This record gives sequence, structure tokens and C-alpha cells, in this order.
Amino acid sequence: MRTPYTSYNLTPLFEARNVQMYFYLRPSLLARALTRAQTKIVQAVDGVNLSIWPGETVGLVGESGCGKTTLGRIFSCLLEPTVGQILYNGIPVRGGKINTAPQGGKPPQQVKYHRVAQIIFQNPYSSLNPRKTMREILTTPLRQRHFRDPLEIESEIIRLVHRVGLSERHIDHYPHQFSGGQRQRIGIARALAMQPSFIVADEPVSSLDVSIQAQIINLLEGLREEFNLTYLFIAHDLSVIHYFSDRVAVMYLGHLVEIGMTRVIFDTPRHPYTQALLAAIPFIRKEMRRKRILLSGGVPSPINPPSGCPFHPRCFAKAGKVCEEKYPPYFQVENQQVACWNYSAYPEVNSDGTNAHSNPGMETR
Amino acid sequence: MTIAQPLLEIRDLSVVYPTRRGDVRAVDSIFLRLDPGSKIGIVGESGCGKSSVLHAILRLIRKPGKVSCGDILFKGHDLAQLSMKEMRKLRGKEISMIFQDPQTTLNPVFQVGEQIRESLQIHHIIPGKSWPLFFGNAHRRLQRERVFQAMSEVGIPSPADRYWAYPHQFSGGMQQRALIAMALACGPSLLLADEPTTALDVTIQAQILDLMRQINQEHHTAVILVTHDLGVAAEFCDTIAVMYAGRIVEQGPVDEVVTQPQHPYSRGLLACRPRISDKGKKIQPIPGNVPDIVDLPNGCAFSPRCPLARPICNEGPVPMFQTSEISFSRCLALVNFERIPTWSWEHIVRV
Repeated sequence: MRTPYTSYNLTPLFEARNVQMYFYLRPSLLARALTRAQTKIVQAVDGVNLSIWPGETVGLVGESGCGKTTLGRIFSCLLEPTVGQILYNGIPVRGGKINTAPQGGKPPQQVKYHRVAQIIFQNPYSSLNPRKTMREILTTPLRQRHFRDPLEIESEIIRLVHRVGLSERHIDHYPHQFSGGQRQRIGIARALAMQPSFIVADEPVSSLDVSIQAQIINLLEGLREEFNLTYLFIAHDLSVIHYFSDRVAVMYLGHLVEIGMTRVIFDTPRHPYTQALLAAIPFIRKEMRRKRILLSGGVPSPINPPSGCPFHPRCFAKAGKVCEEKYPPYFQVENQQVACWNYSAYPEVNSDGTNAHSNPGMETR
Repeated sequence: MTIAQPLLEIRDLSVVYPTRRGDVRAVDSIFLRLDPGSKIGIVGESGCGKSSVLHAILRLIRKPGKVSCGDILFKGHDLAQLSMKEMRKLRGKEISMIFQDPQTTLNPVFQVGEQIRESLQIHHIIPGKSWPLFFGNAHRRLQRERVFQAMSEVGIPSPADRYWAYPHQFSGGMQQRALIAMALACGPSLLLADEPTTALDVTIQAQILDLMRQINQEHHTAVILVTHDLGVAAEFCDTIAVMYAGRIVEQGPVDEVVTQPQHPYSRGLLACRPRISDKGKKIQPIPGNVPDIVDLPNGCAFSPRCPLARPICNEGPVPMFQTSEISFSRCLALVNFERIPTWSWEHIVRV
């Protein structure tokens, strides 16, 4: 674990403010005519506030179906949230574009959001176009950066390819000619080609072999130091999150239930869900194993989420009736923010640690 | 003292898949011995042949692939000698298997309960023939009672309602439980689990491993667990066999393999996983890629990626070195890189 090169006094580089993402499952015309089936709403992300400061790595962890990939896509502007917005340096992002504030007499400029934020996808087998060579895949982002001269493009591609540890001999190969690890390297090179300051890594290693995973993690780590990148690192593998992130946000059924520095979360998890999640990690060494907390059942469906705290049907440490009735706000327990009624004695805060009752626009830290 | 007969003994097993580019030796001279009630883990990366071992035990290797040599003895009987009919009786009743992806293993067009009932009926745990129409319902109800029992044993809540659910109405963990119910309904003495938790979340994985542990203790069922996750294997098994490119490179009791791995590949596997217990420790990736199994080097298949490799590693077969009563490792470093020309892959050399 490293110390992040960031100061939490600055404006966050990226911020999600009350982001909600609903997907509508509309039954077919026939089904509606015959069975009066109603349109169902999947609440994939439900009111998430998350700030990411420059230079830090935020790990987003949760089980499948909890909305972490959706949140990652919202952060990379591939999805427009139903409610709420993404802010870049305090400026709202609209339609994939940022209107920068006028500075020193200069007129306001419009910047494409994809110039500052890029995404690495989970599955390197389906995220590369099988009909394009590596050269073509990497040329597209370079054209976005207004590269025109073929020689310049060529040298830039070679530079990128070398940086991610591939050989320039393979520059005209198609994706199927590469192994899984190499394909993921192409995906990383494609993201880097835009020279972003922020990369959303959506489970970048979970479909790779164990011995290749470490290579990719080390590559991402090297790039972080070299370009001072900010990451939103999405994974379900807790040991990878522990290794790679500065802060951890734990997600459950569309809500962030606990946020804190990595060391704090892993040493003293407060939310019952985090505790259960950490207890479920299989450990190689016997002495490290925690007391098992077995949760009953699986994650409930986001189509029909439970009332109150979404975790209460599986929770083993319920605070009382209030859990079933009201969604808990965040409580500041020492250095972490926990959404659990067990900690209602602690002060109420926003998820980024600011006072809950202050004006969100006028953040004072 | 007589040595108890092992439940399963695999001797010098090889599985070959012919391809246009040449024969792929997915499994290459493997020896395994499994006592009743024991838990063995086979660990390796994708393509190392670990699933082929399980398929070979059940004689499920698809043509043109075949078991090219070796014997598999189950309770003293050679499985290769059995007729198709006898083999079919054995599958599911004596040896059952849980597959990696529960979604594709269950039939999407039949109710889950009916699928469990069918497997019980085939193995005559419940009588198959339906009585005349008049008594049919009562009889069916009795059959169903037995299925409910099997379902509640693996922790499926309210089996009476879940019986009629289709697989897509089950979550991944529940589907896997249904498959385990099916596998265990006939009380097998050997359970083959092919990455049973890979498709599941960590909290569900903990539930399923707990269930399998409980079954192992209560019914004394032996388990072969195939996984790529050393952590899962270390937590569940007594013995671990590490496979690389079709061969077992290290085998021994869990604690020994995990704390003092003898083979550089097992060491690499342990060092390349970030661990929560080691704060601030850098992970050490294994360089290079998983080898193409068609043209393996003449000697040790791991030598191109090995930090200890010397030219002698590629000069010929590397035998299994027995380091203690129950631990084996396939690395020339154990004998200071001195080779005897008569060694073959099947040899076991005491050091």
C-alpha cells in the first residue's frame, strides 16, 4: 500500500453527485396486451455520492449485480445517469462535454470528456474489434487528438505499444492472434492513447490467468506513477483492491455502504456487509483466516429492492426496526463513512466526509 | 498393518487430443491416490489439463481426444474395463460431478425439481414406474417428498415452492446448490468439483465451500476440487496437486505446499497474488505466458519462465522427486541440477 500523492483539500477531480441510474424493462407489446405486464424498473445505482481526488486510486468493490460496473460507466460517460450528474473539477459534464470556465479573459472552451477520462474493460476478448488490427485500434484515439501525419502516428503507436510491454512486430496483428493478457495490454494502450488523467478500470484482471493478473496489475501501477493517473478501480477480488487502492468504496445493491481509506476498511470494517465480505475471502495461511460470517441467501433483486436498508434481510447485526423502514444516512465513524443504523450515535455526514447539513456547493474541509 | 484400499487410484494417466498441428498432451502421466473421505485440490491455470483429469475419470473425454495410457482404479475396479452400461450406472451414483457454470449445466426448459427427481429416478433411488393413473398422484407426491429432502439438505429454502421454479428463476448460488443436490442425492463416495465457485461471488463462494465441507464430514464423501484459486484450495483441501502444462509439478499436504513450496512455479503462484496479510509487499509476476501445449520443450515445460532454469532443464525428462513421505516435486534444483540419463517422466526418485 502506498501513500497517495494527493491532498484532500483540493476540489475533487471527479465527483458523482446523487447519481441514480434506472433501467426500464419494458415488456413486449404482446406480453402487455395479454398479461398486463408492467414496466419494471431496475434501480442499478441509487443515489451515489462519490468524490475522487487527483492522483488517488479509489477501489470500488461489491458482488455481481450491485451496480459497480454501471457506476464505472457513468464515471466514464458511457451512460448518462437518470438523475444526478458527474462533475469534473467542479464543472458539470453534459452530453459528454465539459464547458470550462472562462480563465484570464479567454472565452469558455468546450472539451470532450473522453479526452480526460478513459475506460479499460473487463473482457479483453469482447472489447476489441476483431476486424481491426492493433494499429487501427490505436489510430482512432490518436486521430481524436488531432494527429494527422502518418509518421507521427506510427511513432506514437510504437511508443504506446512499447510502454504496455508489447512488441512492435505485432503491430499489424488482429486481436485473435494475441493471448488474453496481451489483449488487455492493447486495451490499456488504447486508453492511454488519449492521454487521460483518469482511467476507469472495470475488473481489468478478473478474466485473466493468475500469473498474468500480476503482470497487468504491475503495469497499471507503473503507469499510475509515470503519468500521475487517477483510477477508479472496480473489482470483486478484495485482495487486488487491497493491493491497488488508496481508498475503498463498498457497494451493495446500488448504494455505497462504506467508504474509507483502504487500511482502515480492511483493519476495522464497520458495516456488517463489509465484515461479511472480508470474512469470506479464502486465505492461504491458516492464521490469517477470520471468523467466518456466513450470510444467508443471495443479493436481492434490484428490480424490487427491500425497504429501508437494502442489506437488512441478510444482516446479522440489525439495529432494530429502523433498518427495515429508513435508508440510513452516512455516519462518520472515526475515519470512515458508514451507512448503517448501528452507528447512529456518530455524527451524520455526506459520503465524502463533509458536514451533512452544509450547502454541497460550498464545501469547506 | 494392512494399507486400506484407496478409493481412487490414477496410475500414469495421459490424455491426448489430436489436432492438425500435432497431438496435444493435455494430461501427461499423472499419478493420484485418493482415500475415502479425503479432499484433494488440483490447482493450475487455464489450459493446464486439470479439467481433463476429471473428465477422464468419468470417461467423458470427447472424441477424437482419448486416454492414451494409464489406469484409473475406482474401489479396485479398472474404469476402462467397464461397459458403457456399467459406466452409466456408476456416473452420478458412485462418482458425481459439479461443473463450473451452473447456468449452462441445468436444462433451461425443465423445472429444477423435476431435474433432480429425474436423476434420482434414473439411479433407482426412487421407483421409476408410475402406478396406474388412479394412484399416480400419491406416488408422485412420495417422489417429490424425497426431492424436497435432497433440496433442503443443500440449503435451498422452501423446497416445496422452489421445486417448480425454472433454472433462470434461481440465482447463481441457488443453481449451484441445485446441482450439488443432484450430485449428492444418490450418496456418491466421490465428488468431482470442477471450479464449483468460479462463477460465484465471494460471499456465495463461502456458502458453497461450507456446504461441501459439511457434506464431506457428514457423508464421508471424498472430493477432488479443481480450481485456479490457491486460496480456495488451501482453505478446503488436505492435499494439493499443482499442475502445469499437463503435468503435476508439485504435490503434498496443504500446509507444506503453501508454506514451503518446492517447485518454482508454485512459488511463483504464491508470490504473484496480492495478499492482504502482507502489507506493502510488491507482487512478483511470473514472466512470459502460459505455454502452447502443442510444442512443449523436451524437458521441463516451465523452464522458459523459470528464474532458476539452466540449460540442463531442457535436456530430457524430469522425474518426480519425493521430498518426504507424501510430498513430491518435479524440479531439478532439488538434486543440484544433476541428471541421470535413464530418468523418465514416470520415475519417482527419492531425495
